[in-house]
Amino acid sequence: MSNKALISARDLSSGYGKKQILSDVNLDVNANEIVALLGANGCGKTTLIKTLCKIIPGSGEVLIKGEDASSWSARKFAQNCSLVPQKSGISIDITVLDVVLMGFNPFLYLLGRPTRNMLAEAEKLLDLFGIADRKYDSFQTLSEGQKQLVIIARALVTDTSVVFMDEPESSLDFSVRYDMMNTLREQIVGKDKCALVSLHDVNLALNFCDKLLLIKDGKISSVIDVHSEDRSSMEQKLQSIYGSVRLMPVMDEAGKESLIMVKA
Amino acid sequence: MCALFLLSLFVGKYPFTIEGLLAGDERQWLVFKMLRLSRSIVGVAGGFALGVAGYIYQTVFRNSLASPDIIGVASGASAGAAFGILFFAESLMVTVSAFGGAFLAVVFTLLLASIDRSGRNSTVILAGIAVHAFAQTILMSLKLIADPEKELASIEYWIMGSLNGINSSSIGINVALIVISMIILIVLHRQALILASDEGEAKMLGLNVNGSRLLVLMTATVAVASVVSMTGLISFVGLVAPHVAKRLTRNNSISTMVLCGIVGACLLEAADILARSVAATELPVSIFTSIIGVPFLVFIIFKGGKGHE
Repeated sequence: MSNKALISARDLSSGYGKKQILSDVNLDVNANEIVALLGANGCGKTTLIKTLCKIIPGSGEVLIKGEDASSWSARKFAQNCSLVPQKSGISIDITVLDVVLMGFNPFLYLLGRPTRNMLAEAEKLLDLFGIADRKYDSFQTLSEGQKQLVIIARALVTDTSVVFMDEPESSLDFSVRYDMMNTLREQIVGKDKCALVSLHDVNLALNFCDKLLLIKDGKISSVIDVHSEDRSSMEQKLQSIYGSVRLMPVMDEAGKESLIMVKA
Repeated sequence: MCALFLLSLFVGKYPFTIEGLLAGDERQWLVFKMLRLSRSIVGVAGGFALGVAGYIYQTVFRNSLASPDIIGVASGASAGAAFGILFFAESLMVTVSAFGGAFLAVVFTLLLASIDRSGRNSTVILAGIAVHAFAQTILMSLKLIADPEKELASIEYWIMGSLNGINSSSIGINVALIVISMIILIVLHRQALILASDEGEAKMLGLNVNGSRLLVLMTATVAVASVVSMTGLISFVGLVAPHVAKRLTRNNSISTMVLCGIVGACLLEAADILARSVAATELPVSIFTSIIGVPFLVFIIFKGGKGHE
């Protein structure tokens, strides 16, 4: 398994108009890693993801798989990176299956149509997320959580090396959040891919991500390595963002220990 | 659509029969070729183009009220036609001038919209409103200087829209432009659907958003400009046909886009048959596109609503 950096940002700054949101962000996300972006509302998580995806302009350098992505066409960028936005802007009647198949657009030529294999991949993911029975229904008839799962399926269907996710858990219920993160790990780890995921649910980040980037006022204030760092050090760093919080160990029936964050 | 096309060949002031055509009656052949056939072709091709263009505008602008008027096509064509009527008089030049007016209006709309670098859809709609207002001002100014006895009446008649008196020399090129535009739009259907997402989302699906939007809108506009330059303004078809088709299929697949065209063609052909048969003199076709379209749309909405209950 390789651990080369698939996403690198050097001195990245950006904002909206004259208002600067991010300043001098440096980060690396390696292959086979899921990295969480954590921080309070408005701290710059979405702006960071949008800047890395070239949706909003910024200064500094963004390297994808070691290459400067600034000169890449939208097509080449999308062949390497996929995005789960906070909320999809699709507002027309289109079948669930067609939404997932949109993910293949960067790999199709002008006259190309999705192949049988692509169709099978799309159906497999919808099945995995438990919404295969809705595949011919209009996207608009789904609940917000189901819509989010469809958009996640669209991002994962193409096997891109880099996956960006902006609060993918926001509309999902408790157990579906865990299923979604499990699926993400299966899709990323051991496959030389990586994911940068902005999350509000710290417990998801603690249990499914390898590193946590804590963002405060548009800067990465600290980094937590979930696998090697001790509990008190993690607690201290999380307190700088969330105030008086504690990390509690819990054990499941199989004896596996995990951490949950509680407000002290 | 085929039935309406055939029916429209036989409805009108000058009657003719299949026997007469087969017998080689010269007068009947002349009526068939010069009046009926060209008119029926324009009815089908024009209605199809307006339906598909309406679908494209509604999809790309993510606005169910979008129609060819929204980016100034219709008002640009009116101003262009009025200019042609005043300064050229020849009917072919009126057609060319209307086409030029429609096309210029869209170019201005997209140029204005390009000032806003964010590429938001709402900017294009606002730019369209501005160009529409400007074209209306030109139209009013041209009406003021028009001769009330002749030119003003011609301008008003053109604005009301009719398939009567279509210049047969302009049909070939305009129908060819419509066919080419329709083929391009069918090819670009996948891109048009992605344009219905958010800007960033579309970009992350590998789309060159500005380039694709420009290509799709310009192609739809060429089709609409080709229609209105021949027929004058045809209201309602571009708005109602996509709603009817989408209510029937409940999706936005490529077959829905084609169905939008078929509904538009049926609507315009049926309206034209009524326009030339209900009164002694021919009536503007737009009156009938609305008379047929509105109840049908209400019926579809009502039926759809019951289905949801």
